[in-house]
Amino acid sequence: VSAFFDPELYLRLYAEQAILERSPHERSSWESPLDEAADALSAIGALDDETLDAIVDDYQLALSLRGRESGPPRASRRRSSGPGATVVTTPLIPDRIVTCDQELEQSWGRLHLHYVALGEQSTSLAITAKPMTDSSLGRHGLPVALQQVALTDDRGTTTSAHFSGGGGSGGWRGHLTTNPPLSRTTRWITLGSTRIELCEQEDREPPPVSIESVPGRLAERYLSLRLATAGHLPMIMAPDGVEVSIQTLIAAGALDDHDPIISVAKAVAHSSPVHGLSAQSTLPEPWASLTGGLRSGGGPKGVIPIGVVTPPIDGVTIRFDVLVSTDHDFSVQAATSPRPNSGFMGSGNEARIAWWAEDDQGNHYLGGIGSWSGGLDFGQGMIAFGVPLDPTAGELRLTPTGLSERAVVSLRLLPWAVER
Amino acid sequence: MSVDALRHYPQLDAHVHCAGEIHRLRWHAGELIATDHVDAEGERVLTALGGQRFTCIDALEIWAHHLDDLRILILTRRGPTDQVVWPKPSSDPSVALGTGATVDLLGRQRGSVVFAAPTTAPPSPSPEEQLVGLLALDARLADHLAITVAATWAERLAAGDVRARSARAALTAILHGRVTSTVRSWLGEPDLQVDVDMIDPDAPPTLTRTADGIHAFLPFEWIVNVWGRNPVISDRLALAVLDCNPERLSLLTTDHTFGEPRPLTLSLG
Repeated sequence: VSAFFDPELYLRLYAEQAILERSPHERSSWESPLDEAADALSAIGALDDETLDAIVDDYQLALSLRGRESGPPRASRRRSSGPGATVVTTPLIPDRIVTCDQELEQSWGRLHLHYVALGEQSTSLAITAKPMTDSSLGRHGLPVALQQVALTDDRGTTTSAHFSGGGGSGGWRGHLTTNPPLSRTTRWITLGSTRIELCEQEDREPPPVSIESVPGRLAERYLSLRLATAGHLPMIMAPDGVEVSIQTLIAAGALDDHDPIISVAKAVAHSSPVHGLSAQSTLPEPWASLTGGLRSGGGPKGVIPIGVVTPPIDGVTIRFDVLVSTDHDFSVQAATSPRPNSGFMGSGNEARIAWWAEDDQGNHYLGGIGSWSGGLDFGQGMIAFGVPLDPTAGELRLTPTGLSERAVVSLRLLPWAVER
Repeated sequence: MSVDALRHYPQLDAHVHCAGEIHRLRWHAGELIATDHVDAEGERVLTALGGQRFTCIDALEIWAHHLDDLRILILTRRGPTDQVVWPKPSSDPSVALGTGATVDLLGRQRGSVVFAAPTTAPPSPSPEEQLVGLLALDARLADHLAITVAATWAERLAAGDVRARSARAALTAILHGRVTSTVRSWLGEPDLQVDVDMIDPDAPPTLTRTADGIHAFLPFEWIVNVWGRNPVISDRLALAVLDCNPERLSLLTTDHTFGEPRPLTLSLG
């Protein structure tokens, strides 16, 4: 940071300009320019978070009195979730994942069981349901029998599982989850009157995990992280916010205004996830992979158990449970402690995590939070990647990336346990 | 001169709903007075002990805690084109000022900062709600309270007070917003680039036109001495007060040519 740069004055003058702005942009609720500027100043250590929070909150209130801005106050977010908060981290233990790929005939239709995840906190069955009779359907077309299902393990423990997921007349896809969990070591479970044997198909070792430092200068790393966690889905890049980050980093002297990362960041921020960029070939990876336009179809179909917990990256521990690949996209079931900032979820005071992945064919993928539940100290859900995996890839490396550290989880993809 | 300058402001009466009546809250030379309460101090004590609530007394109590609160200058208007939409004060005499002014912090949308009549015992208003509640009583009173706070900080700056040195960035930004709003309005150029350097009170104030816009060199006390009264007179922008007494006001002013500033004297009264 330049010795001649006054970060507090910069942020306050920026806020005064926002007050006097004649035609303020319509912005989404998770996109506050003041927050953006404050986040950038915080990331490069230009000003302490308490001062940043106070300035942003005072001016957010002033802007709200002028019918502008939105979003929760920064200081209260920090008090509840930031570095000064009393967030209790939860030790994460890998789930036992058993892939099943079984078709179960039910009185109301067919239930396809993809895998069972037996964890410390819950037991979860990934299913696809296809009702055959209208009379079995409840509200919204979900089979009544799925709304609450009795599951029993080999210890005789019986508990109710509740469905979460989505679907419609063509079928339902989601999870039957129990809380409390069934026995992690059970050899079988019964679902209603159907017994399901839980035998691991092969003696699969957990994938190797390593931690790496993120290369590059601090400002460059922050900008890349900011780009990768911009919106509520991986490819919504929110160009206004990225522009604010760039201007702030330049003003602070943390970035030269001719730095190559700036043109890359602007090109990525203005890219379209569907159509890609005309100048995509000039972008370096990983961005070139993302801006080439969405591939549609052709992904390998199957489920790969992961069952691994990473060491903390920038203070966030991640548990990867299972990779699910379909024709049109892939996703990873995961849990974290504490909650990270991944786009719309979380706040500027929590560690940002970008859900990167790369394969051995040179493709890069960026995931976003598809569904999530939990609190500040623990949460779990689905990281959605929105595009299909390259069917020729033999290895996928999951590389969740923070500002200074990233984890690398190397998954062997082949052979796929192809679903029916 | 800053706090002294407040004596040259005409007093202001704000009319507020208080205990089912319309009362006057008077601002005079930087003081806030509840003119319809003979024993305001005694009523403050009774209210604190759970007695009847009075809007006027609540206002005095809140103001006493924010005499030098720079947030008042951040929240209030910068100039004539800066429209602040204050939430409508509650007319319920039983609740503390600011109660229900729950700034909907999870979804501040246009006009969502509202006072809502509570249906059950309302929670005590937060300090932020209290402050907004005070300023929302009357927009003109809010301006006068802002000028009063500015006067306190102008004095601290002039005296080399360590608090003013610590708050220099905040004071500079506050001055910047008001100068920018005023100059843009004066020149009729709403998007004009305005740079502001906050100078010492004894340095000569200037305003110059540059290729990029306007560069102003003004002291923080300009807010108190000039901005709070009428910064534009006869299409000239006032840069400083040269002399002020009950009979006349002498100002250092500049015009659209940005030539050498020259005095402009007005007869008062």
